[in-house]
Amino acid sequence: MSRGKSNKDLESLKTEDVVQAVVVADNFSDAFVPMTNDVPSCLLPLVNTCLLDHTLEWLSNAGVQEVFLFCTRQVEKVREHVKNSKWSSEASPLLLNVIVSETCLTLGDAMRDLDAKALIRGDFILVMGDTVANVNLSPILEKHRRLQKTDKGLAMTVVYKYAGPSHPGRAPQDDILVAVDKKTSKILFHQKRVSSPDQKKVHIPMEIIMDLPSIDIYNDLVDTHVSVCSASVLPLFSDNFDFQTCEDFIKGLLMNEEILASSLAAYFLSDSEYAASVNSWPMYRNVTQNMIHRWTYPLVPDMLISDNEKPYQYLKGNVYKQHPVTLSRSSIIQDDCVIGGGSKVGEGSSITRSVVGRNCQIGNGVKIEDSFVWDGCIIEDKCSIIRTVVGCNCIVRQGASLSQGCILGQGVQCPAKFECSQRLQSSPGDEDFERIGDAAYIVKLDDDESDSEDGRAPQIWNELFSNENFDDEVDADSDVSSELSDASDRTMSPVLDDTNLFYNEVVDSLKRGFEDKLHCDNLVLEINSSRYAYNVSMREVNLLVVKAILNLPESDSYLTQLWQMLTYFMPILKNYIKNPVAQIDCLQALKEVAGAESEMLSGVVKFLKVLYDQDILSEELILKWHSDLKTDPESKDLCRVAAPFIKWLEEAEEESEEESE
Amino acid sequence: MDVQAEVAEYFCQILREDHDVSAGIAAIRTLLYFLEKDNSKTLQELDNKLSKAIASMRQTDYPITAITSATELFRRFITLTSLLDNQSFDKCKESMLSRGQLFLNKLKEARDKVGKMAGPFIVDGCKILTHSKSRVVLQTMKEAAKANKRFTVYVTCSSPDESGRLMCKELDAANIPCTLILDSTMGYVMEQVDMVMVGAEGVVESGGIINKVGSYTMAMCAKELKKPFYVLTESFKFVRIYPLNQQNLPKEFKYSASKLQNDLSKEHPMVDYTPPSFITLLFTDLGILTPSAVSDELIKLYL
Amino acid sequence: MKADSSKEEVHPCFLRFVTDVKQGKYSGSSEITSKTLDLLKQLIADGEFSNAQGMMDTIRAHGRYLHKALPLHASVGNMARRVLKIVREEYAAGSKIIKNKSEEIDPQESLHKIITSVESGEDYSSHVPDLKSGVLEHISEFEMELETSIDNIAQQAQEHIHSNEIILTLGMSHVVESFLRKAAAHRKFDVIVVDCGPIGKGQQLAVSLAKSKINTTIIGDRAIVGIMSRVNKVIIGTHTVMANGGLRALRSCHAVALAAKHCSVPVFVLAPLYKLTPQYLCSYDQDGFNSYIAPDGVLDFSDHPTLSQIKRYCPVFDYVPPELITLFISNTGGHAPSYVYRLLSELYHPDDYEI
Repeated sequence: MSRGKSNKDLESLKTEDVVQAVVVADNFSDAFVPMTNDVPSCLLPLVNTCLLDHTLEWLSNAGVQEVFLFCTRQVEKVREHVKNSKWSSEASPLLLNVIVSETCLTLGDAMRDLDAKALIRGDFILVMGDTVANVNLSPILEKHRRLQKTDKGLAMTVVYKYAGPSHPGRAPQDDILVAVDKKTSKILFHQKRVSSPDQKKVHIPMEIIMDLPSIDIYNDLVDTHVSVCSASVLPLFSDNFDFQTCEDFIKGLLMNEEILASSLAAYFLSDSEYAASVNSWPMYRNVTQNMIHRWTYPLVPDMLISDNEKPYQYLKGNVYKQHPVTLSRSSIIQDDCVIGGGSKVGEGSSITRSVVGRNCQIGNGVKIEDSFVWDGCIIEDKCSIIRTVVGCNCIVRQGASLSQGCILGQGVQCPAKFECSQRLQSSPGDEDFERIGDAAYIVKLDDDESDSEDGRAPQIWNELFSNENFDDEVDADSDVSSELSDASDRTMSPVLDDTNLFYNEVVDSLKRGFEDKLHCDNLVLEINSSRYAYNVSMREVNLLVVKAILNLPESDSYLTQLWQMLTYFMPILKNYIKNPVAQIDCLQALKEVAGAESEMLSGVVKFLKVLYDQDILSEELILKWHSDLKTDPESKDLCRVAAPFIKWLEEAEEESEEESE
Repeated sequence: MDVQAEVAEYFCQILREDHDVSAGIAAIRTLLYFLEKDNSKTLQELDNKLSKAIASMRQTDYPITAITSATELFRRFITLTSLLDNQSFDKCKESMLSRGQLFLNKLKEARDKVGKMAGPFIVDGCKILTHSKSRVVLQTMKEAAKANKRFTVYVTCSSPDESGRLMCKELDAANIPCTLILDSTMGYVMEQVDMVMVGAEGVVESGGIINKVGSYTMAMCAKELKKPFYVLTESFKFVRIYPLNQQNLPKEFKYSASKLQNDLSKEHPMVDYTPPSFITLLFTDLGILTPSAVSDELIKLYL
Repeated sequence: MKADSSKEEVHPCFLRFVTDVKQGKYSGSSEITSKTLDLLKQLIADGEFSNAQGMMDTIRAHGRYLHKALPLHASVGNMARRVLKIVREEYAAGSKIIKNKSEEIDPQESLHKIITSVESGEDYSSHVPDLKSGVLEHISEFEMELETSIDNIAQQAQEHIHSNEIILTLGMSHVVESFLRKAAAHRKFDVIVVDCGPIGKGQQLAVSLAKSKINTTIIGDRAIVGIMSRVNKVIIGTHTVMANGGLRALRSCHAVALAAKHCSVPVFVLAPLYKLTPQYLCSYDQDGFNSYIAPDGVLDFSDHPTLSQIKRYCPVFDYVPPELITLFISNTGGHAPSYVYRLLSELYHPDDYEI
């Protein structure tokens, strides 16, 4: 499906001068369910323009001449969109080729498929179809080529942006630690990490530090998911079929640098350059805000020119108004708002820090805050929409109140006076989702599918605003509590065959590791690779690893052995159990193991104590877990055994409270 | 003599019956009517009669500035038309009448044109201060409100005739939020408003305006607080006088005809003169003009 | 003029041009302006037009497209207006020969016209032979004028800069650069450049002037008022000259002009005629008046604790009211700000003010 072959300018250019880019039009995750039920993720609107258009606009401004658009899901929709856009017109500055491969499930698959198709001739730029950026690519390409001259094995230049930990412009799952050779900007070490206070230590292998005169270690970087790849990248993916994500690729290359004879370089964006990949709701929100704050200039609403779009007007207070918007006299639009053309806002309504799509009807007395209302929605009188995403063509009936990470899929009709903070979709789907109205069903995410690309489960319902604490502390607190209850209410999916196999492998690895005194980091890698082999979700990994550790000790001297193993495997536990959801999994594992094996009961207190002391489990969650146990008749024993520890915890808390007073 | 009385009566009748007609247009309509009825045989005779008719209109109590400018324009029109068609007087008169209608129609369109010019300057969310009652300003505001712009208006009640009250009522009827303020509140309100928009009874050669008394005060306030002072006016209000100061303004402009006999030092002037340096822009049917462009316009006409 | 004409196909080279501008392939407004004129010329040369009206519609559609796509480059719209005016003139000249009309058509709406009741709605539908060649020739002449405009301005340098004066300028402007250089060939004077960073690139200008052996000092924006009392003249370039004689110029220009007013220092603005735009400042929120770029010059993106709480703006332009300007120096000579309206009516047809 190549177009615009008559493009004389491009033909006349020498092949090596053509800057090629591969745009992967899928994020290979279910982060945006239910929005992505019938629309591919790259066509989701961000500030009223779909993500793919943002990406292509940037690429064309950045001097890319040929783009390979790699589609996997809902290919027809992408194709249709591209066909109707300016990118397929005669005069398009981009030569756009759509490549279809519906069997790909990961980025790795896509790369392998691309390798098989042999379309790429030289260095290319790899970006996701949901990238919003204003980076000029030529200096990056230049640097890549310069480094290539000295280092023949340079496979990829990864583009990073500076943003300190807990920077509002970065998603929690994107926290990374990178060590770079100062002289050659070669990446020496790369680790994904979570910025939780309990993980204060970082292990960097000595050999990295020993060999080089100076290295830089960064923890204030955000991976932009933009990279410049040498031609060798595609074969590398093909040769190593366990490379599923870019993350795997980087890790694999660093681990086996000698074998694969490839290296990576880092490129750091200056403060005036912006790049981010919208791969989760927190990023969606961050990037939207950054765009409204004009960090993405010239990719800002009042500059985006698609020929059949009406222009936006940029007003003070970062308010963008597309022509023609009808605002009633008493309506208030303030602070960082975008209002799409053809929308109407009724009397007494207020819109704050939100994006409203085109042709929306907003009634009287509506309050919209920190929300995203997409095209064609009807919001009736006196609704309150706070921290919510409302998909295209939704109808929110009178007096409904949507809040705290509520997400309405396309075409949902939210009943009157309904209060909601969950994800809703318009059709019942395959399973029987709970019905709320004519076209409103509560979405349940299937665990098997929710394995996100970055290796951290994104299932927290309220993740959209989970890193809100900068804005207002009170709301953030309520967020956390609701998110915990949601997460723990969910039952784990039945253990499948694959999962069993995975479990056995984990047990084997751990056993061998303990006996041979292998390094825990290697064990983690081993577990991770089996995880990809069996396609196990992150939450199950958490559950099974803890289970495996608990089941390892022989029954005769259970307690002593458990003690040893816990100490030995502590790094593994720390690696996996690093957020509230994982903690819930961990406690669930404890419950399941203790329920099955009576020896375990004796170790419960010890286990809890050790994990609590190591800051792996939080007091709040243990208490909650215990109170849940009380209601469960089957785990009466467990409840009883754990009681002393709980009592101790409560006393300790009281003490500390007294002390603080 | 009764011809003159008839003219004055016809003129007053127009203004009494239709509140939407400005005195200038009424004067021109009256003169056209007069021209139709007239039975002069020569241009000279016609000219003399016209002068008398004009004089009779000036005797009425309506604002004289607009009458002056409009009638002067009409006489210019007569002269130019007669130059164009220098055949027999009858033929000349015929073409005068037909062209006169065209001329009148053009003047009637003027207000719409001004509204169109000034429209973009009323932006969403702005506050406007206006003085007294002006039909052009009113129409422009109505247009802007129709175009979905949200703005509020402050209107001075504008003594002695309190015409601001009327303006306020009309704005209310058009659903435009407005506040009636005392004339003396001008300075108090000025800091909150984004711009001042006034009409004009006449625009003089210097580019300054003659308008309801108080306009000058408002312009000075606006200049002091750096607010733009916009004048909305039709081009037939351009007058060929060049006042140097307030005293220099002709008496008949300042006082209504009935009061001219009284002791003027005890009378309130009806209008004042706002010099061009206080005016940001003039919106006319000829386009948006800077004050300096006005004299250009007048020179072009009366060369 | 009509809304439906915007639906017309836009010539591909215009689309390419827009992309090129966005990619930053052109530097400076003079380059963009001459390229626009080139494109319009090509458009006329390539097109088939039955009459002047068709030609004007096409030009207008493309002008409107460019204006919409590049709202910040006002000179692009000006070029379309200029070319339209050229077509009108050529048409009038052509039809005069045919109809033997001696009457001068003054495009400006005037009182005179209202009175004489001349129909202002001109008709461009009749066929004029050689219209295209005439227009193309006329455009070529205009191209020449455009090319030499900076030189023409520089020629006047000696009249305005005297020996041992201290001149203050700001940012980087090619016109100012050549103006000062030209003056330096004959006289000795000092230049103070306001840096106006990060977008102003005053350092560039300072380096270039220093290379031409001009005594140059560079100062930061905050020193403008302090140094003004020593300055004899302010000479600046501008982005656009508005219809009332005000400027849309690089930010800090207003500060410079105010400081100059305070110290009674004359402010000279070097503005080639193509920078004159029939546009007024309605409000600071007005469409396409100012451009707000990424705020990295104000606050760094990585300054995270403050990022969500502080609003940051980084406007590119200042509006300088006409009363702060002493004189415009264009390629045709010096003009007072109050004279700008006159120049405008000579350059463009009033119907084309709104493309």
